[in-house]
Amino acid sequence: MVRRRMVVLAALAAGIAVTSCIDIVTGPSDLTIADVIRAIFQPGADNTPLSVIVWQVRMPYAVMALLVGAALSLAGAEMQTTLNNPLASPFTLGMSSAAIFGAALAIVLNISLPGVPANWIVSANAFVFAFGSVLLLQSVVRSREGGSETLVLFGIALFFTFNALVSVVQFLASEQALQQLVFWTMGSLSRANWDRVGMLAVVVAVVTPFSLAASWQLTALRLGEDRARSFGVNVARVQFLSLMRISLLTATAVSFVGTIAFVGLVGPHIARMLIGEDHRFFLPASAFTGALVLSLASIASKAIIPGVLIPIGLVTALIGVPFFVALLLGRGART
Amino acid sequence: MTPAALMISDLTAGYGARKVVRNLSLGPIEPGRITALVGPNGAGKSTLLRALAGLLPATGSLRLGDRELLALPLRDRSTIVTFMPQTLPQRVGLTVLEGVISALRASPLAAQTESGRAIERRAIATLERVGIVDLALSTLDHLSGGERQLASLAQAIAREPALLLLDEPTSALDLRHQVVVMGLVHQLAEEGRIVVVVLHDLNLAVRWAGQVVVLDQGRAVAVGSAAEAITPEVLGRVYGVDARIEPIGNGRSQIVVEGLVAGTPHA
Repeated sequence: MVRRRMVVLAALAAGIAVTSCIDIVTGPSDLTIADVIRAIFQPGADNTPLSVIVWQVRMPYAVMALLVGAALSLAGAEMQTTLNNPLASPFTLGMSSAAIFGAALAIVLNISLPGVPANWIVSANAFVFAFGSVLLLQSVVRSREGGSETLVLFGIALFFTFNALVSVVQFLASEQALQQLVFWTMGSLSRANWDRVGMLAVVVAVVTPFSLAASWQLTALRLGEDRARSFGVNVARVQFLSLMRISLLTATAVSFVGTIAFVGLVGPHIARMLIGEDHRFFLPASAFTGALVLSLASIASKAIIPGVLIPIGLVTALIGVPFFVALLLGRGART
Repeated sequence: MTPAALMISDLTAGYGARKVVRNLSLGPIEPGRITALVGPNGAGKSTLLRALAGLLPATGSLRLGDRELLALPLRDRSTIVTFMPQTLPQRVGLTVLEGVISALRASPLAAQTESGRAIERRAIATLERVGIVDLALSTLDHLSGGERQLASLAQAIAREPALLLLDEPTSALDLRHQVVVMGLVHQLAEEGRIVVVVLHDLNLAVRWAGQVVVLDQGRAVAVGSAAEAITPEVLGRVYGVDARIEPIGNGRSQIVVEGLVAGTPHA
């Protein structure tokens, strides 16, 4: 059992390696594989156009796709377990919407701090709002008497509230600000750079060990909240810490790339079908499937219309959702 | 160590401001036999059970030997008490064995003392005990209702609790599985555990329980052996039914319900 799961994890990792290579090679300027390899292994030749394209565009995009996919999918997996709801994801409970609202406010109000680049402020504000929405959710966790339904309903209320607020901002925004807002609502890798990749990598690297350390408690939670508590699991605390991790992952990812709706929902579902819900394997598998899905989406965003970079959030929605439905129906037919 | 008895004194528990169980005193609830909680819907059976499990805030006293359970933090209490809810959730992607292992490893205390291998062996021994070791690698979702209930029971007893609390363990089971499950529960009690079971089916209580507690509106209205607690008079008063207790040989008896007590509303 354990060995089979290790094989699945290894296969996913291999898949990620292959797709990210394809991702780096794919793009509007026709580079051959040989060109790309040459550029990667000769980083010294800094200012050649080839090196710039590979090192400053293709690679940060590709790595960002992997990290965002992993972060959102891991967050979604933890969320589906702690809230005991297969529809929970950073997107469905309003965190992404809150982040977009934060970004929209920063863009429209033209907030600036001396010495800080404007686009960093937009990201920072997106983070602040996403994190704030999670704090609101957590206050519900702490005060609630009922089950996790209250929390899910509250999350949905947040989702609609922030979406409405974003619409208000859009309605009031200038032409130019609207252009920028589109980036957030559609989700795009086009602002990836090594600084941001580094920051997200640090967040994922810091959060993941804590997720894995909680894996037995999370697995027990799948057997029912009362049962888990009777096993000695402090459910409220597990939920609180889990929401903390979810908010860090989501807020950081969303603040760099905008909304990418579908990964946090579908990544965990694919992982569950492949590997089951022993969270020691389910959590890493979710991160891997998320990375793989977004890496594939990144390739598709460049390949569908040659020469045009479609925002990746649109790709995940257009290709991903039917794929997801097919998966679910296929599973229904088998059982 | 001879297992101690459970004494419930002045227990009040409920949901928020709504107290379902008020000032209930009961006991001693002794190890070695099944104690059945029976009563009409809304009588407070599940509330009492969940309060015993520490899943609901409660005031009063729950003494097990010289230990006051209400004063113990959840993680310490979980080494003594295990609660088995009525059903396992649907759509859980875990195998039967994984369910038992996570029951053993989820507790903050458990995993520190035993190696993963030892825990796995203990889980398999539990499945053998319950008679479902051949289902160890089946997914919980693919089991029949009876098998699910056995898997659920395995999760509860793997922790070897001194106090085992079961909420309607037979509610969705066919006749065969009712006997299998209650037989196992009976064995677990005979080994020296305190076993408290909420039962809807009074005939199961009559058949299996050494002690019966009839609850009505949060109060214990009759306590004793099945013959003492379940009488036509009690059934009439609590359930509003006109019933007879018929001997059926082997010293056993069965409840036969004739209809409603004259004058009680149909609701």
